[in-house]
Amino acid sequence: MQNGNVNIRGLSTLYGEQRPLYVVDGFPFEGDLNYLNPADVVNVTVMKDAAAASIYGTRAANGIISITTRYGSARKLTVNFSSTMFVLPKPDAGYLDYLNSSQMVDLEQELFNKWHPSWNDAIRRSGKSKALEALYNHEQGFISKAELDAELNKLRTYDGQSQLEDLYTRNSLKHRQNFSASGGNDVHQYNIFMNYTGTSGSGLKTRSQEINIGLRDKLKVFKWLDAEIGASTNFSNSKSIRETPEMYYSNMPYEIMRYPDGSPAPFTKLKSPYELQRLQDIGLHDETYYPLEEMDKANLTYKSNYFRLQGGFTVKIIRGLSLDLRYQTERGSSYNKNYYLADSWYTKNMINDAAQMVNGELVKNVPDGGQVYETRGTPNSYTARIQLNFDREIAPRHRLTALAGGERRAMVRESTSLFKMGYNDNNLSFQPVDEYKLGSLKGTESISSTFFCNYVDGTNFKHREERYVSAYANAGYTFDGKYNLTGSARIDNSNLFGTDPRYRYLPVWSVGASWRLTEEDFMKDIRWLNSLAVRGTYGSGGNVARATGPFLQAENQFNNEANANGTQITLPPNASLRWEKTITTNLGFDFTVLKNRLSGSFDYYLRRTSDLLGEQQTDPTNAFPYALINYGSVRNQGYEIALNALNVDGKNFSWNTTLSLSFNKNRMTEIGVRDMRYDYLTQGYGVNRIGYPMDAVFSFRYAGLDPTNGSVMVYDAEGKVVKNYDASGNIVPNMQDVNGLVFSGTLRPKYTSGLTNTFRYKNLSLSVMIIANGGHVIRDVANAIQNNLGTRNVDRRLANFWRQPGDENIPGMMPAPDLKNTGQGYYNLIWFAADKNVLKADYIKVRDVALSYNFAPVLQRLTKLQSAKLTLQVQNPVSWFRNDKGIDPEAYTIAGQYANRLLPVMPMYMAGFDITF
Amino acid sequence: MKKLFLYIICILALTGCEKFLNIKPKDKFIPTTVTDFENMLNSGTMVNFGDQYWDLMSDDAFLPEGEPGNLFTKQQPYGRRIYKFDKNPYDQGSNDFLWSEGYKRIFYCNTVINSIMEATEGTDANRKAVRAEALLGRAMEHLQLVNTYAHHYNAATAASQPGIPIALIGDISAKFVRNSVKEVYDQILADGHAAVADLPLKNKLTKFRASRAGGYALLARTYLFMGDYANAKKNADLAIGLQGQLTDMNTYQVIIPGPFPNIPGAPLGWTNIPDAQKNPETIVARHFLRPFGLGMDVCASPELTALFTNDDKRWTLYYADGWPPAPPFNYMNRYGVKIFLRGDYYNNYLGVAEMYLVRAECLAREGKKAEALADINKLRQHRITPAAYVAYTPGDFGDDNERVLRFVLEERRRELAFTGMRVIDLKRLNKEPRFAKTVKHTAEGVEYELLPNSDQYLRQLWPNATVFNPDWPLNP
Repeated sequence: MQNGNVNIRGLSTLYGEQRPLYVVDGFPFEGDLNYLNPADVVNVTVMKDAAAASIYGTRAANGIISITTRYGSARKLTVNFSSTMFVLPKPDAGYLDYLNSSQMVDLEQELFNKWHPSWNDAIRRSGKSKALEALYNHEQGFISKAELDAELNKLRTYDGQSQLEDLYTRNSLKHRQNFSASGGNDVHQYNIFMNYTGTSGSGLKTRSQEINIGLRDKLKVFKWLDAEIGASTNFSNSKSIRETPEMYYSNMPYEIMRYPDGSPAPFTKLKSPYELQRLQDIGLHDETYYPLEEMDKANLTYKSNYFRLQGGFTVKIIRGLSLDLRYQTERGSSYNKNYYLADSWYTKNMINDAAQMVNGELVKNVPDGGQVYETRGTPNSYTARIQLNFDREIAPRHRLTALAGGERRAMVRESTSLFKMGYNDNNLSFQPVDEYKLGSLKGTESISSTFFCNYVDGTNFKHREERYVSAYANAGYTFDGKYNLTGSARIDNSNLFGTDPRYRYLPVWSVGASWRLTEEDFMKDIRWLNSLAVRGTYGSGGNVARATGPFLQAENQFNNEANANGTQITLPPNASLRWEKTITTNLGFDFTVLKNRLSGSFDYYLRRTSDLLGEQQTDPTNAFPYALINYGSVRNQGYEIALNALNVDGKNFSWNTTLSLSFNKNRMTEIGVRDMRYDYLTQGYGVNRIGYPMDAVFSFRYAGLDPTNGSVMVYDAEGKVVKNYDASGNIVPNMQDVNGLVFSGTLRPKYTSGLTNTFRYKNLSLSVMIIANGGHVIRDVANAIQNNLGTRNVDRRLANFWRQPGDENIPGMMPAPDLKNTGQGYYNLIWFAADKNVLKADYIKVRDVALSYNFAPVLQRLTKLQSAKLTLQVQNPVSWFRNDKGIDPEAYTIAGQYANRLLPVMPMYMAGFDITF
Repeated sequence: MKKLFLYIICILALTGCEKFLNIKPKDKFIPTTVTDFENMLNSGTMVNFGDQYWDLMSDDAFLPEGEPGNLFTKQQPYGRRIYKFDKNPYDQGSNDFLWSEGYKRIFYCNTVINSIMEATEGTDANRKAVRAEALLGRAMEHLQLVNTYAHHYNAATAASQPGIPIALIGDISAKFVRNSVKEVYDQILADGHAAVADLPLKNKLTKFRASRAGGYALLARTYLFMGDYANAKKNADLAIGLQGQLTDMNTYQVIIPGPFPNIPGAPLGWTNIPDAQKNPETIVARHFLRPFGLGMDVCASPELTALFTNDDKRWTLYYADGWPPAPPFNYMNRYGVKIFLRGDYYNNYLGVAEMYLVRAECLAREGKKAEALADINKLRQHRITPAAYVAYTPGDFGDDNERVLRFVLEERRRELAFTGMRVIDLKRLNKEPRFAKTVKHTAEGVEYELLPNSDQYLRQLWPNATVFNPDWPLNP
């Protein structure tokens, strides 16, 4: 798992669906995993080999996560109630390692004095950082030296970050109440559950609520007929704010929300104080942005309902042969509403930007009043399945199991969005506007003097439908309980590729064998070995990139200029398009030894994906400089080890350890790089290049800072030092040879592991889970200064740049700033992508520590009580990172030419109790 | 019971899998109807044309250098190179918009041309009319490309000189050769003549859509470039016959001063001249990729400045002293030139004025001085303030053919400045030694010269395309 995305065994596709298939109670599940009641999940199985694909079809190429929920027990009534509280402290912004106000003002002043763009009207009108505004105002004679100093000194004392913590954030709280009851008799079993989750986020005024209610019921109608029904529903709603605290942490450190005297302070947005005044003087709105007040001027809400209904019959036809008929439907509705009040900054900004002065008259093209964006969606899907099962000992010691079935499945997602201006939320009125005219206005009061409102972005219809018809069969044969052979096949037929059968069908299949060695006579004598089985599977699966197809695809959008709908070609026809194919080999063994005290499994897999779809450069004379075509191959191989040991098993004390380890290694065996250029190979996202792993990182070989001007020097392919400036000191990209780059690793972890130790002493138990991931790399987050600083805070190390000869010898020195930006992106790239700035990304975290106490044995008088547990838990309390910059790879992001820290992963504390009668 | 299940199986198997799967996807739009293809002509891609930087190569362009207000360094690197007559303005990896967008529009045209006749839901007449519009668009693109990447058409050498690749199919895997200049012109004429037959008499929706007058206008322009003045005149005649109305520019004025907002007295800004697609003088409209072309980034050269007077509305509505009359916009004080500051989305495709100019030039070359001047007078009447307007007669030019022709060409330069036409005119007129001219630009203290018929007029084929086509001969 990485950044919330689940990948099983490495990626096998670049453009197809990368998410594994979730299967809940035997059906593909399209809902949110939060809709499931965690207390009712009895089993989660991860299926990875080819056999999985042949049961669930093409989507299973990325693996399957199969979740089984609870049924009632025929024996007795069980009632469970649990309540849990979660606390996530405010983020600790110290992790971001930004400059403080005083350091920032000093840095801005120093850079301004070195060089700055000459004053002009655009600079005068645009929003600048407050220190820069003051520096320009002094330079232009609008304020005196004393006023400048006073302003800068005042800024030095402002502490925006602590105000953010005091006034804009809070500890996030979540509480969950859960109730379930299950029971039944030999004929009828049921499980009912309800739960409620309420969350208040770390940003003020963000909260969400969720209610789940569900029922599962199984009935023996006749001896030969079983029936079952399941229904569950989710209601949720949430409120959020447009400007989250996360966005504000990177503000200039002296941007405060409240002055020392308690009055509200404005944030700098797009326009300077001069421009804000000018707009007011001509009769437009005051666009000054007060963050604390703005919070109440926008209402962002979301509501949704979701239902899932399942029903099925199992008919026993003759002994060993049964027929299943099953149907599932998922339906829902969602409603997202963003309402900006008439005096919200967003509304005022749009009104002002669209206004024109025509012959001295002010014309407001966007009407005064609120604005509303709404999206209503109705997703739904169904699956119908018919399946014959056969399971019988056809002769003594020969057992045959087989199933064959057909499935039909459809998914529809529809939504309608609208955007209205001059909206009043009380009487629901709005004002009509000339959408055509607003599409392109010239000579407006915006900074760029133009205004474009693409109404289609806010007002549109969407509809997406996927349909599948599938047939599958599966057979297994067991001899003597020792030898087992399996085979499976499935064919999927979908509407995805239009009418051409070449693209519609993808057969997937698998074969497998296993051998339970411990059932053999010659193994019977080995006393310490309780069980041992070896197994292997081989099969083929597929994946499909939904985006592209054999037909020319287009988009239909109103083109304001042409005053008509325009057909825009989005994808050229690609007649040679094929499915991506994945061949998976899996070999493994399972064992249990030492009186079942130690058990485990070992798996080796090899997945070869061919006809990988990738974006490749094409002749631009054919209109499209890049096209998605099948042209790559990737090889994933790895090991997975799982061990479970019962170290101590006493009456009062026990200790259990589980360890899981997985290694993945992948290599592009055939792929052309999208652009074989130095700047493409070194960009932050990683590249796919033949012979290297996916998302490979290539770097410049750093050769130190130039002693004459502090610019970055690099080595070329021959090992000669390359300087990157010309006679006049302008930065020039002298190192463009891709052969001079070095391979520095991959952005994807090569190994992931987890170790859990559980200790139990009488009624008290403690479990500690530690995870370790790594083998991959990240790039450092301190960028070279190019251009001015802008309006965002920067890494503390940026202030420590080369100022004079000799500085280049100081460790950790940053390159001299390229203030005139003569090097464009290049200057930062050779620093950002220097091999010295590649860091190892391995990390170890104590993911989870849980302490629980079961009161039930203590409260023996309450005979009905099965268990009463009190649990205290903490997540992520301790972390260790291999890089010396203290960067947590889980709180980090990388883009084309920069990398950033994200807010840190805070430890989460939980307390809860769980009672079962 | 068993029968029931058998029955259910049969239903499931037979309820038309095919029907179930053969739905037309709504989220994926695969054009099939005549309207779907016709709408390609309204797309955001098709409304653009040309390459605004190209004008920087001409003798109309002047980039002041001193700080502040330095317009040379304000240019993109490509613009700077073009201004310095660099034959390789675009490196591999940078985008030569003329090539990338030009061939993209050809791809759109080819998609329409090759698919519309089989498209559903529409009349045959409309299919042909839409195809004719696409043919005209394709011809126009090829004409612009061949004039940028190849030597000017010369009947004697056209068959042997490399032109540009002719693209006639829209397919991502198509391979093209670099055709000769003659082959390209033959294709342009074939497409143009085929288009004229089916083009509608009136533009549909806006002037972005073509009309029959546009077909004749394209042919007139092409024949003029080829030096075939008889055919050029004939087609200009036909075009003017269908659409010859000019608009009096004296009716236009500045309504919102700019681009310096709300500074009283700002001289120029947003006028009430209709945008190209709605302008009555437009025959077929296209915009530059950037709506105002080079607007605000280039000055009229001293030479071009000298051709205008303050009685010319083109001068007072399209060029500005700059405001405030202080740095950085005081170009008039510093260099005696004005900045090109045109605020309407103007036309760089086919217009009525160009047809009068083509016809006047052909007439002048035939020696029909009075007729030529009649066309010029008609144009000037709609451009010059009434007080200053004079109807010229051959006598004003001493009855000299040459002087009349030169005046016609001068008027052409005034009218078509910064619409992408001047460089082609320079290349064209350099073929005649009497009009041959050396263009000089100064940048970063260095003077650059562009000699008549120099290879420097040829832009190198875009490296992003040539890497895929090593068989194409490159420009010298």
